[in-house]
Amino acid sequence: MGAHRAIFAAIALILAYPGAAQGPVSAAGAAAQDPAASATAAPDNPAGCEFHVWPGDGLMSTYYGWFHDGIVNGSVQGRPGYPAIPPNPIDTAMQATLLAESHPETAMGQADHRLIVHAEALTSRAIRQARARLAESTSHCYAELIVDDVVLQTDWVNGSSLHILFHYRDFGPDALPRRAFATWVDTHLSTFPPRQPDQLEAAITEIRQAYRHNVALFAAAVNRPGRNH
Amino acid sequence: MKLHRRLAIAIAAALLPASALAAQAPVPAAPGAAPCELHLWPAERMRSMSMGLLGGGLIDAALHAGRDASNRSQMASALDSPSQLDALQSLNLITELALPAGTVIVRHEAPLDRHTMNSIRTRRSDSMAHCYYELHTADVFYMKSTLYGRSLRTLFMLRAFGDDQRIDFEYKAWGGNRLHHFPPAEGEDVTVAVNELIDVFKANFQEYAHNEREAASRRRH
Repeated sequence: MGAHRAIFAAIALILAYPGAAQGPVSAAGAAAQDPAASATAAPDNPAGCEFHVWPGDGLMSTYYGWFHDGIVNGSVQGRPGYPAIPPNPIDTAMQATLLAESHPETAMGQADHRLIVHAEALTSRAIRQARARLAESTSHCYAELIVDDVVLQTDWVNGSSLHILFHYRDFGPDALPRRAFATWVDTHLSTFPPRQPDQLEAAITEIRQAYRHNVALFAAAVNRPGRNH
Repeated sequence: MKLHRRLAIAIAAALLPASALAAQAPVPAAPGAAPCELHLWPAERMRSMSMGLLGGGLIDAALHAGRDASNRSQMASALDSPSQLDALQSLNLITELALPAGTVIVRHEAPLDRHTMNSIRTRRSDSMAHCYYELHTADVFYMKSTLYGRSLRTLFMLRAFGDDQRIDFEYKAWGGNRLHHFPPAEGEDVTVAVNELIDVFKANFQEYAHNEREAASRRRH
């Protein structure tokens, strides 16, 4: 088990940052380092609308098994009896990249907003206690998408799935949100966590695709007719 | 470690309003004495058990496995370690637990290993305070049954050490209250359910603390 974990760690590092020696490989990845530079120009944005996005703080895990269960982050911490997972398969920087690629502003019907992906995750306290805008912006049309928690959930009947809690807040021109909505979405995983080192690449690809899929699921939930919180 | 402890004390003192500290005076402190310490640890174990008409057992557990797994994830998020500690510190812990006035609260952001909670019977921090308490949140347990409905139960444990490594007093018990909104329906807004979990967690502590005060009082008399 220990040898597997070491191999997972080495391969995961290479997969996570394949071009580390050459610097950031994608515009989104580079942009995520600097909120000001992370903005993606909207095709038609005369009003200077802004759509701010914050990634989550790494991966959590919950497990409901035959003989072990209940310890939060048992897999993330490598506790005995909990399924081993590669370290940091979807860290904050990777989430920022995936969010930028997913263009949630378009998926949520705000394609005229400029996408601004922040590099740092917010604390749960900041997310849940905030009432006003989280970014220092006076934009006349302003919205936020926040990734609260990203959880690898495994149970003995259904296997593994990636669960994400998103928060969406649309302020328009106001200081307080006109509309707020938060819910969990999930996508089933068939390969992650990998059982063997040769499954690692496919497993990492799968969990990142599940993340993108969850962004789309949340956007669909926000756009659902009659949703007016 | 000592630096960490001092930092934790400073942060805890900064987070608590001065008025709150001043108001926590159920037991007078000895003049000139160093303050007592109350160390807080959050829970790392979250469990969910849903029972249907079958009343439990393997088939019932299999039928509800997905829902119970989802409940655990949602509880782990809503009641993550900072949220547990914030919820406890939003209460007047000194009064709730009838501790000496001026007791300093020390937060430990990382939970202790649940399996060591009962077996290790010495202080879990490196504090050498002459007057030292520990409050452990051991378990958070959601339960749903056809007969009794939904509830959240929380297992707390208080240990009083005095000035050495020996436990002078220990009280470990559950607090539990009903839930009306958790778990939220799939795809629905979770804000109300998350807030309810935190409110019920606090109510569970207050129920526990009430019983702890009575147990401590009985022990003194």
